[in-house]
Amino acid sequence: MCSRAGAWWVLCAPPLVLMAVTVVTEQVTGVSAHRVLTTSAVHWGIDAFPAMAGAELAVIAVLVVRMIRSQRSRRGSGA
Amino acid sequence: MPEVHRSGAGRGRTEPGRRHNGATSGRTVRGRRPARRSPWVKAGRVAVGVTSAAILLASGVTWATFTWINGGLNTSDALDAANKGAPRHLDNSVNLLLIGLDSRKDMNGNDLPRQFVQDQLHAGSSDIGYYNTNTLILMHIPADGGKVTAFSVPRDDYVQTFNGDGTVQGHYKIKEAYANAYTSAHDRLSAQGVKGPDLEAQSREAGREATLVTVQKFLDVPVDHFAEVNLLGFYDIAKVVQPIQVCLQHPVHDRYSGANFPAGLQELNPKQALAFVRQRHGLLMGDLDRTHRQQAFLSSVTHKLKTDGVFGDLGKLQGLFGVVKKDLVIDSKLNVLDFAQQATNLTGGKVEFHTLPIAGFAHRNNEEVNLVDPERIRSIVQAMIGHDASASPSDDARAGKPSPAVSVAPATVDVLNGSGRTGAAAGELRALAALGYTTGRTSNAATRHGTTIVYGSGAQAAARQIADRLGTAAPVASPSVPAGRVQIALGTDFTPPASNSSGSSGTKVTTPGSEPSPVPSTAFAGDSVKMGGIPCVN
Repeated sequence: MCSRAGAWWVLCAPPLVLMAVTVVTEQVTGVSAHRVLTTSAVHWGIDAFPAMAGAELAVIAVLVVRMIRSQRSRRGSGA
Repeated sequence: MPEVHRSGAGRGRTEPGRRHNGATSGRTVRGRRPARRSPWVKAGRVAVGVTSAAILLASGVTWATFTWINGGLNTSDALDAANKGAPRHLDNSVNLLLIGLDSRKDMNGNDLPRQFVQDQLHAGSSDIGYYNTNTLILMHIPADGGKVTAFSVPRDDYVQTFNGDGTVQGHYKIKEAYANAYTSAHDRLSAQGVKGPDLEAQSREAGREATLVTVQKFLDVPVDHFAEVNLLGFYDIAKVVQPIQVCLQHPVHDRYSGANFPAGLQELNPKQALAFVRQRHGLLMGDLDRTHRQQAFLSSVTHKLKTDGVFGDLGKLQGLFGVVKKDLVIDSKLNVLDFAQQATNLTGGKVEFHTLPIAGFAHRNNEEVNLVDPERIRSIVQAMIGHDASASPSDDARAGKPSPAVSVAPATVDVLNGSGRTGAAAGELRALAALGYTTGRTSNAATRHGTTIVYGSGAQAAARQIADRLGTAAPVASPSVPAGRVQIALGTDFTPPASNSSGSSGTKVTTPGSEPSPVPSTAFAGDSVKMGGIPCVN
């Protein structure tokens, strides 16, 4: 699947990607049109967080499962 | 046991198994050296990790705070009904109606503890007050973040009141629209078997709808949002922000409200704050002075919140919300965050409160009421918060509508009571003060038939306006009257004007089109109060 270095990037990606998607979407659809930057930023955080948290949890779960499986497989192979 | 090669192997990474089996040390399965990571890559990884964690944490805290605040607020859908027949919104400005309810009950309709009502609220028994809206303030927040204009509607204004569905209740004090609708709904729902908190909630919703529709029709402006607070809510808010600095021009002692304050700057606790905004006895302009007190209080509170840094401190805001959300009702469409952004406009002297003028006093339905000229009030409101002309160039209904901008000529007015009716002079002087004239003295005089007006030098214009208002003979100049003064001698023919203009037709100013035009401060009842500090009031 991916190396430890790759896992690091995967772990870090959800907040960055989802925040970027939220900002772009709200700008394009005009949701942030009448708001000052500070208020918009707060809205972005609130709107993005549920998906962000979900994605992060999913990534962590996958990595943990992978790690466990990898350890079992190493143990199973006598390595 | 044979080594299991997984499909993920061979992607350029070092394979420990092969190394172990004597493969050239430090070489990959493909024969490459392991990449020595540049410090820049390491730094990049750390930076991305920290940024990611910071975004996640900040978003999480913001989301949790917002959810906590929003989750506990009492919201109402009363605007849905009220907005059906609302006047068109002509720009992106926001009109917010603040409703202060004189109820001594909690959200479920239960009486507040008697001892608390008497000792802390100084508000008599739980039966008093019922569901009257003692405070009605319409705040107009312009779309461009400019100056906020607020209008206080005197609670005793005698107007046509409406139910939430637009049907007419009749002519009542504007504060009674809520109570009338509440009572009707309460009776109807009770008969249908609705009980307890549901009965109270639905009845109050009817009251809110009635108030919103009545204010909308009276001022001819749409209400976009509203917030309702009752006596207990006010007390709780004052408790959080105490001590609250206020300033009085004169010392007061009033046993009805419990107001007992010296003149000058002073700090109030919640109990005193409530007395400060509720006092009406012993004040020259009675209820109108009480309205100014409410405006001054709002100014003091926002000033304090700003100087204490509450607006910029999420923790302090949480504390404030924790208390108010149990007593405050807001409309379900109000986005707390967007409102918080607009609320910054409410500080720094950007808000000016005006008290809508009255045309006199009279007795209706066995009560003393304020007479009003609805057309004049609508024109003043339109002139003050006129919309962006470019937003609706074809609004025929408004185009060319005259803006009333009635100004009263400067003069100090004395009223002598020769009418034989107790209180006639004081009542007329109050009405004239509400129109913007400077109040002089009142005294009794020998009973006479006709009402006459004499004036000193420089007060001819004011004398003519007042003569027009009272429908008397032309005023007469008199060397015995000091300069700048008008002296009215009320006769037995005196009747308080039923509807008013402040005087001669020549004082009306017509503004072309729908451009907002400034309205002279004399068109309002008493002085306007500018938010941003601690105004000194009567």
